[in-house]
Amino acid sequence: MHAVTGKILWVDLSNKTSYEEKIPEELYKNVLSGLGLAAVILNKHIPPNSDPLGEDNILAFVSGLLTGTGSFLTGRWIVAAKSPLTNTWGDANCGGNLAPAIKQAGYDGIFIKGTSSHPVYIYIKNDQVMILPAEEYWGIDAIETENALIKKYQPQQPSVAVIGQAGENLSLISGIVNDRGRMAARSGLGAVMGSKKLKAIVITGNKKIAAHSPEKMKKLSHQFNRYIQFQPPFLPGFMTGFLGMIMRILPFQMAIDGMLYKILLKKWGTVSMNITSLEQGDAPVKNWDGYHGDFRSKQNIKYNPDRFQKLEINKYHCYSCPLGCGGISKFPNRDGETHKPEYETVTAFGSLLLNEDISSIYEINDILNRAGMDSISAGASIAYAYECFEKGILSLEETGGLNLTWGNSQILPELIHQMVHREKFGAFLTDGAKIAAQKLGNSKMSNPVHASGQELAMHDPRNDPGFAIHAVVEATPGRHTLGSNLYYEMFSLWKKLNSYPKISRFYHKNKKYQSSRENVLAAVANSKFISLLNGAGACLFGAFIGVHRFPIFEWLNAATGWQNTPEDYMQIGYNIHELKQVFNQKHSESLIHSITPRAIGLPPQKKGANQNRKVNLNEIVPAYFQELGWNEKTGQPTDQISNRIISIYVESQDNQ
Amino acid sequence: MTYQILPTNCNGCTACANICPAEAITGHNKQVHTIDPERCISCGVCGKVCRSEAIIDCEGEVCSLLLKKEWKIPSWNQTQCTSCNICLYACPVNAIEQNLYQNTNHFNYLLNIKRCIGCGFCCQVCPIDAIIMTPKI
Repeated sequence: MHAVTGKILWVDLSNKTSYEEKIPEELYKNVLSGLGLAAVILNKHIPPNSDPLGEDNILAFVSGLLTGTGSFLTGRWIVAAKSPLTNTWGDANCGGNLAPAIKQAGYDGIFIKGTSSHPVYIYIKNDQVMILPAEEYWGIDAIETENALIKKYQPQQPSVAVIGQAGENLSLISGIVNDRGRMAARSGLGAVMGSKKLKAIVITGNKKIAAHSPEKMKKLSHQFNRYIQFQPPFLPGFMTGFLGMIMRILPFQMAIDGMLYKILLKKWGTVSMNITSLEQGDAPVKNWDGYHGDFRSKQNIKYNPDRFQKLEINKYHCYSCPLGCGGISKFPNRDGETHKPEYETVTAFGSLLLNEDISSIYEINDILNRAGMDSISAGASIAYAYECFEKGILSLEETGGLNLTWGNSQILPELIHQMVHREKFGAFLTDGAKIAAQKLGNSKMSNPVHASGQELAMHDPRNDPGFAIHAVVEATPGRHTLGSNLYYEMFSLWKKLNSYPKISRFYHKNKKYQSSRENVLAAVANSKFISLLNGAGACLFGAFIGVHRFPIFEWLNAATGWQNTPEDYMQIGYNIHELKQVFNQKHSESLIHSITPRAIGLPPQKKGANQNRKVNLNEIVPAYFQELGWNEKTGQPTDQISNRIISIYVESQDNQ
Repeated sequence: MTYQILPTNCNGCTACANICPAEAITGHNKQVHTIDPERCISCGVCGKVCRSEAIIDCEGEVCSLLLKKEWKIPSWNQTQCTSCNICLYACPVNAIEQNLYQNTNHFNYLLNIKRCIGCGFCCQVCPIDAIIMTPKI
């Protein structure tokens, strides 16, 4: 079969062995590769009720079906395992350069089981697999370790996935780092890697990945590239705040065309949204209790995207990305280079803490990248601590002398250092806000903002209720990359799929908060489509440009030689979505996740963009499950297509 | 089908085994060599260095010796290049390098000419045909 390698690699760290396993073509037809492949295999092999940090958990590194076939914005690698943070299905994905390396080594995925008694790293060069001692790297930060390993294997240019000290110390909010600071950060999968005593995976290979029709792939990429390169001059940075302000004041909303967001991304990267989001009511303020006015005047000057652009030395492009939203940047106050902070980091350590110091954001971003800790969860946990400190739930004595007053950025590097190393007061926050609140005895006054343990990202469901729906119904709770009303607008799925509702150019904002059939269908479409993207290894930012421009369905057909319709691909997306839910059925107590009331407007805010806004999930969540054909009260899939898909894999295993 | 060695012509000079980037060729000095089809990536460099016309390509044609100075090398159209990095990872011998910090918009790809085997993989994979294979001089 074209576009995939047709096999996976198993590495058993308990007895230091590795072996290959063939994957039948039929399976790819049902779930693509990437997340779909991981969902089938983890469903089969992780026993119910197993400890996420124990020997039975399996850590999967997979690359998407389209990776390496000549398509653009399809180079994301996905890591999946049972999440220790939420005790549910856990996955995270990242750009960087690992995805092509996995395929060039000859595999569609690398599955790691067992645990090692001492620190090790895995070196994979084509069909050669070695499990080597990593004592010398243990305790060293992720970027230094990656540099050392790349230097060791010169003149090869291996791709490396590595954990920092946060993962080693089993922090439940740790991630896995690639390409010197890009991170698959969510779901706490760095801790799973740490629990296996696996410091790094080093992959190099030179196998070719062949598409079924390379000419067709090139033609599609050529056409798509025209949209990427369309870059008219845009407003200066401070005016983006003005845009957000208009969006806040008007009672009507204009459906956002993804091309506008693409222009912002290409110019500034994700930091383009710093001020717009704040003004619009999308960025949370003061641990989700404040409003834009609490921070507005300061942020408009301090976090103007032009300031980030001035410090940028060069654009950073992930593999197969012509857009280049990342950046390699200078520090504002000292020598050295770092990845440009992303919107989530800037907001989590900016408006969420009322922190006005841009140089502290650069420092914190670098510390977290090196330590391999999720900046969203870290920022949200610290914001929770700040609020506890303000309310007197935490005293200066309890914090070890750290003055957690809103806006105080001086103590942040020290606090994060303590969190990463599980020391002193920082140990209180190492495993996220929910566990910190449990340590405090769930005081009614404290408000950790999370969904089933995973801190919510910096997009306010009170502004876009889609974020709340997906935070509670998806197999991975609390994620912002699984759907929202805005995403549906930008995907423009109705341009390729007639059955999906079209969003009108202008609509009243109240429409977003209704439990209407249109909103239910949009949420279902998001779930299926984003699962499909993760099976293909595609970047969300590419899909935002709209399916009428981002030819995901056409690329998939050209890469594989299939003749599928967009509807067929949405069915594949559904299959992947159901497989994740079936995993949770075996491993999780509830399939509907809890969300902190504050994040959905209970009680409603008294000021600002989200004043008096409430998100009512009571009607839309059952309707969502019903639309998928699942039990509307429990969220359990009824007519399980997953069993048939898993049996395809099991049968192929028996025949090997 | 991948590249193959004609046992009748191979004199075991090891030139192909020494240069193969995929470590697909095995054989001792002065003994007939073989290509592992599982490992062969069809880059064709073995055919270019074989002096005894012992290697046949994917189409079954006998490859002829080509002096290194005659090998073509890639050349980037910098105005078209989107810095997508696809060529960087397609190169089987890591001859392509990022040259960061030349300007704020694009990477430039510098070629390590000593390593380049002229396989043309970078040119084949470039989605927007911004790479052409040109003579060295």
